[in-house]
Amino acid sequence: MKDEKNNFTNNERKVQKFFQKQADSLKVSKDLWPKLESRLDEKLKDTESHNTKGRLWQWLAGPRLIAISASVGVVLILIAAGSLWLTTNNSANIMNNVSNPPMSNGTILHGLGGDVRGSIVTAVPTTTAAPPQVNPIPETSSASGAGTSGSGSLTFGPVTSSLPEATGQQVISQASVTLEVTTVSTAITQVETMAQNLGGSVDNMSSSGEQNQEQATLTIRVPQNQFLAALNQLQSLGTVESQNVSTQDVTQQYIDLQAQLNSAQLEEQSLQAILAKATTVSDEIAIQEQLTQVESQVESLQGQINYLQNQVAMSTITVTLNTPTQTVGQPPSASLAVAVSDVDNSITSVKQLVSSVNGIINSSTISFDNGKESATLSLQIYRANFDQVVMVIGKYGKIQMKTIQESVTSQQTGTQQSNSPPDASIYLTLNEATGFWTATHITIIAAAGAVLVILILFLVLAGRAGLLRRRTS
Amino acid sequence: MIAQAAVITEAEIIRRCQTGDREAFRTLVEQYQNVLYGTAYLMTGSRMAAEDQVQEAFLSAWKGIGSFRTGHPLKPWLVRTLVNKVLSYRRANSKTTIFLDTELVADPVGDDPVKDIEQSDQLQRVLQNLPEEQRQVVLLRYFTGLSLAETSAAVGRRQSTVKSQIYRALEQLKNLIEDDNEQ
Repeated sequence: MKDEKNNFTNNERKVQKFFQKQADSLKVSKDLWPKLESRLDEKLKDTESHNTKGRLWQWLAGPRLIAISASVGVVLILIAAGSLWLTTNNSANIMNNVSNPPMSNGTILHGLGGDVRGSIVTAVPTTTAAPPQVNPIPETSSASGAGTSGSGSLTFGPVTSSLPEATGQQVISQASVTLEVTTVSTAITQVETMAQNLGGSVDNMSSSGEQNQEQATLTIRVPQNQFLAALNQLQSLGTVESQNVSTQDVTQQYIDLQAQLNSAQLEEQSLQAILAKATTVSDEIAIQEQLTQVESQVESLQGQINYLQNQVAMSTITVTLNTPTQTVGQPPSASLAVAVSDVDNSITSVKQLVSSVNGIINSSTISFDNGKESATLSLQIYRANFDQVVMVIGKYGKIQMKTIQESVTSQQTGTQQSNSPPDASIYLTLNEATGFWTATHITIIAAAGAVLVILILFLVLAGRAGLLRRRTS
Repeated sequence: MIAQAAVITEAEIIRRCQTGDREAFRTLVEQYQNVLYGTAYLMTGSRMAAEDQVQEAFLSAWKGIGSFRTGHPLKPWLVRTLVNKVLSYRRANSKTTIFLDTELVADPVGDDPVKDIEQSDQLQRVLQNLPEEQRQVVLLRYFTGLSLAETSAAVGRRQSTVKSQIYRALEQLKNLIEDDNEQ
């Protein structure tokens, strides 16, 4: 051990001595200072940053740059795709909810959540044999105002707000007005005269009820520029109980249809040209078949465009005329769209809930769309349980849409339950709420995966670079 | 006067450099240029590259001397700066062959060129046979004259590693020097 140490010290001394000897021969050829002094003012930072840039570029050049750009690209694409999927999915959901719930005539609408501009369109009765509707007397009736109950946004008084003008924009205007008039038959004549004077017409008319409880529903069409004038004139015919004005912008739809029509027409023309040049009978038959298809497509598109144009040009107003002698309140109704985690379980819960309050399930439809389950249920329950049931159903999940129509508080609730069937209706749509989370999860997992790939690539490349450096040195 | 000048310590020179005194810096350059040059030459094998890197190291030192903590020895700091410069130079010029034998013949120095060449040549041959890592530490330890701790700081390796590398290098060097002498 001691010998080893001595050996080491001896070696050290030898080497040291050896190096000292060599040191004398290794001297700077000439004095460094003059050269150095002239450079002392140089901006070292510049050269260093340049070197850093150069080094960075050197480091990046080649496969690293490709790998990094590719990975970044993949991440961006994944995120973009995820967001796109998310957006389309959500908007599809909204559209679904908007189109699903059935509306009753004269509904006071209360939209919840999301862009439901187009959904506040009151449904127009399509059959003349509409069930008799008994509208409530406002609890405090006054000459200008009207009582309301439930939730809803009402516009009373002269309509002054301007509607979108059809300057390139295609807008369908619709309104529903419920009026309390002394004599329904006189009012019908007045409405008809008014519609004709404004250059419109009465599309549909139904009346029902006895002498003192008469009710009539008219659908009138007036030119769009007379829409507001018509509403103002209608208000002068009696007391306004409810009024609902809505507009729907169909510009995009119109443009789309027009574009489709143009391309179909072009196809039609070219097929006709080909047909004229056809030499064999079999060719002619084949072309003729195609031509027939295209022609029917053109007709259908033209029909749709005409319908839209007609809807835009002529505004629809649904007028409901009541006499002020009703005694029984209109049954409340609700349209609900709820996003739930498990549609089947929710249906079972709804069924149990309805049977516990002696209600009836009129219909129940389950459908699948893009792997997502949704169910539509139509329920009839007693008025007394209405609020409670709506509240309980609302707690099943996230409410996507809620529309409640309630008349004045029913005065005869107690007796109703004993001698009449349950008449408060609820239209319920249950949507599977997993879509959003699935999309989010997919996006997160994809992004995390991409980051992992980048990391692995980086480590592999860095490791290889280190190895190479070690080899060269 | 002369006695006064001799009293000026390195710490004082550094302090003056920190105030931008070029003459003080010149003193430092003249004091360390040869040892740095020798180190750089033995690491690069090229006189031109060695001079360039020594210049770069001094320039960096001039720019960075403001942050130098007085009271610490300057030499290890300068050597560390030089080693970094040389290593990045070698990374950028990884194809350059180190220890070109022709260089010395083409560019001899000293009073007795023939003797100088012989000695340097011998040293180079000996060093050339060492693995790169060992060569570095041996150089810094015995040629540049750094302590074990300073050497380990300059090459960025642990002291224990440096120690064992030196030990192994010495074993080989001893044999090589003997072999060389025998020839």
